[in-house]
Amino acid sequence: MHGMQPSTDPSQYQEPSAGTKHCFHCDLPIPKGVSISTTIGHQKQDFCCYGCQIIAKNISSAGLENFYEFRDTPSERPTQQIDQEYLQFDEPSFQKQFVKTSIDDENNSILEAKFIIEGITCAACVWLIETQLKRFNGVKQATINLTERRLFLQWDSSAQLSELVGSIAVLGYRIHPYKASHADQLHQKEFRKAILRLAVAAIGMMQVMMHAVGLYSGEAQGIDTDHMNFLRWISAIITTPIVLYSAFPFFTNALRGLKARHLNMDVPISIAISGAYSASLWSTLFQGEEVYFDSVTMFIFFLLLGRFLEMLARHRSNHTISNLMRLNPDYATLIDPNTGQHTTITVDTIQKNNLIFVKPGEHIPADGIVIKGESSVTEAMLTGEFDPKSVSSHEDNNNVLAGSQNISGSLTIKVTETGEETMIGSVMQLLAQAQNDKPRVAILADRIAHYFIFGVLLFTSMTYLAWQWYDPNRAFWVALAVLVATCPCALSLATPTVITVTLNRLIKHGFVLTKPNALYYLSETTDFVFDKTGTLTSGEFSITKLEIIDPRFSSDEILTLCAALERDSLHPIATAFQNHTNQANDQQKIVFDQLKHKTAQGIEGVWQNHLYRLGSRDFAISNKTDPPNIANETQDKEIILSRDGSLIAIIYLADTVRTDANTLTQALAKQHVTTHIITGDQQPGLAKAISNLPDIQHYEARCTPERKKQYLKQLSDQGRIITSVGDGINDTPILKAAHFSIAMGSGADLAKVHADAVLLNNNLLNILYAKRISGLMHQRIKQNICWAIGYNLTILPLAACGLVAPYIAAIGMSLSSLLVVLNANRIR
Amino acid sequence: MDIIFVLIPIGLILLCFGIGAFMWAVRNHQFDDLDSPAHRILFDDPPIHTKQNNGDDESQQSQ
Repeated sequence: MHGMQPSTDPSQYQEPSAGTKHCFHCDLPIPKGVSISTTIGHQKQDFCCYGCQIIAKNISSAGLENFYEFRDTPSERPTQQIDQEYLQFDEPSFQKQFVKTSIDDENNSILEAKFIIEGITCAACVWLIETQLKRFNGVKQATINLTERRLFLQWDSSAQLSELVGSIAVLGYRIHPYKASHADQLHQKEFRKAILRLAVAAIGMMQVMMHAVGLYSGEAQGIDTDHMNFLRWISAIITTPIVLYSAFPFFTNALRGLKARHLNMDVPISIAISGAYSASLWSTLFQGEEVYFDSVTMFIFFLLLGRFLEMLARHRSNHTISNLMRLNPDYATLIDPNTGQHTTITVDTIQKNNLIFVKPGEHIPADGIVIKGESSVTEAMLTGEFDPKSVSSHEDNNNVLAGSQNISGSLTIKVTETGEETMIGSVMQLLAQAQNDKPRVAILADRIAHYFIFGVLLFTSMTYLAWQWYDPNRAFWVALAVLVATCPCALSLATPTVITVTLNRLIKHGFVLTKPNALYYLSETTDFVFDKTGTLTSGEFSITKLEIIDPRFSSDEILTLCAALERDSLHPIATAFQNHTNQANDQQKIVFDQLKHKTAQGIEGVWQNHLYRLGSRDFAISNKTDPPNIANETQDKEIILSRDGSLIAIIYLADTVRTDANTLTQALAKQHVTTHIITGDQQPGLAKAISNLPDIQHYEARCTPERKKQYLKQLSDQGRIITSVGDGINDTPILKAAHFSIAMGSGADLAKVHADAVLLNNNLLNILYAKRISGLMHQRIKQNICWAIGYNLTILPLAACGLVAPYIAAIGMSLSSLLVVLNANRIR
Repeated sequence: MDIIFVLIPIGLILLCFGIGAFMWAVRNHQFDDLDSPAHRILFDDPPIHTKQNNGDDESQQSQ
């Protein structure tokens, strides 16, 4: 099928250095100095990290490497461990919440459930996951809905759910249970009704057109009156349900508008439909001159099609948002205060004063106080700060917040706030309220269409009056011809077709729009405002410098030791060593005994009878008089590797700027867009980032959320159009204050829900693509509207002079609509 | 040509069956996913599950 790597658009930017390789799996650039490869399907391929490599190997050993041939979109880069166990999926109390049971003919129990799957990028993923699941004997049905990105699974008791879920996880996807919300069910109903109406209109239209051809031929070469009447009657019979059923929404909408004394677009549409239909019916009954049944049905069909496309685009965005609405973990462990027994429950059943147990790696499901245990937690989701803070049962630091992740030790927590009263829940509420304040410009097409239709109605009435004076017999028919010929089918299709095509193209590049109407602002942007941590930087620790103090060790050995120590650690520092992790077929695999994580100090382990420690100075070094009066000149975080208390090496860690950040800012500068960074981080961290990004024109550190909002307001008061890019909850003020907001896919779910678009694969260059496409989209919409109106204006005088027969009107209508659709499809 | 008085009504009855079948298909979830059916016809059956020769992993770091 397609080639293995989609081409990135070369006309938009220059590659920083010739031959920068891209990861075979996720297509992100491979950082300098990293050389990880393996053979997939008889060819050696390169990867950017071990995460991608492991997934590719899993796919390959499952015999499914054809996936890479099928796919037309790069996969997502994994950001977390894929070898978690999913044992909680087997617990009955957990399954009760979302799994349905039924009995089949042979008295076996069948279980079925739906799951949200993150990481699906195209149809090849559907094939991959479904094939993998169907391999299990117990699986009765495994179907993925690509539009919703949800899996429907049916299995019997011979398969373990945890095994099934695990088999998808090793392929690089993240799975969550799905419960249909009320909104989802309403969408489903809306979709069904719309498609039924559309189908009836489409089928009926084709039938009526066939009969109309008979009638037209009759006009040209003669036809028996009986036959002509028969054909007319048949057309009337077919058209009637279409007008009454398929076109019903137009009438109800029009009436609703009139009741509110507001002329909406459905009013003239309803007039045109009912007028043409009644006149044709009269004609059939009383041997009138012309019938317009074919035009009526075609008109209804095209209008419904336009509405249908709009609805599809809207639903697509809704699916994305609905899939993201899992802000808290789905499940939690409740401790019975009397028996001490642990049960798994879903988060929405947690109550105040409950005792919950949170293991390392789990997210904390509610605000609370630590009763027992000590650990460190990251509140990256809320603050963007990925350096953990320590918590314990001690009064000074026993508060924990919903949404933060537990890192090192187990905690018993007494719940103080749940659901909407947690800090994150209340922030969400405030944002939901503020949502409606954001100004949105009405779409161009709607406004123009409004005036245009009004003009047409006016003109039709004038034509009628004019003909009354000139040749009263024909007055009505000419007026009707004018109404039908100038029906704005193409106009109603002009915008939705372009929007649909644009959305689809963008999704292929990992750019998911949650609010399609806002895209207009991206193309008109004058200023880009970036957050720093997690947006322009990777949001993870990376090694910046390695100082070897003990010359007996090579840098490779040191890094391998560190990686082995950090192997099971969830601390963000561990990610820095990910790329040095031992692989199973290395000759000397280092396995540490007695691995101990000491909260806020470091990790220690024993290997070959030596005690190794990796952590803070005080923790690692026993002999204080050792040379390390090496001052930490950089502002980077410093950790020390030691053996038996003697210093081996000092490792400096910092957040590094993303590889393509510079390309992005450079390209934006070339397009005369002003770029800013505003961050809550400290000045030195910002200065370091700036040194790698010479094209940034304005920057400010230590910004509070209020200051960020103020900064943006200042810019927009000057009339500038702003696009903001961010990832954490503390960025939500700037995400909302900008005209167009983009959230990083690796960022907080809350940011993603409220942004206008989500960058799923964190590939910053796709922002450039989206900007170009949004400009194209705007252009195409204008072209389509111009063409549609142009056609209508041209045919108007012809119709007014009585020169337009029904078949000309019908042909013109369909041709102009076709042209509009084809033009929309030209977007690449 | 009088035959059309018979044939066209028969056609209409077939039409009703057609629309009925479509309604059934919609209620049977067959139209819920409009994106993947276009690609599904091109999916191949996967090969029998054997361990492919993945070859050697090569990985080096240079700082």
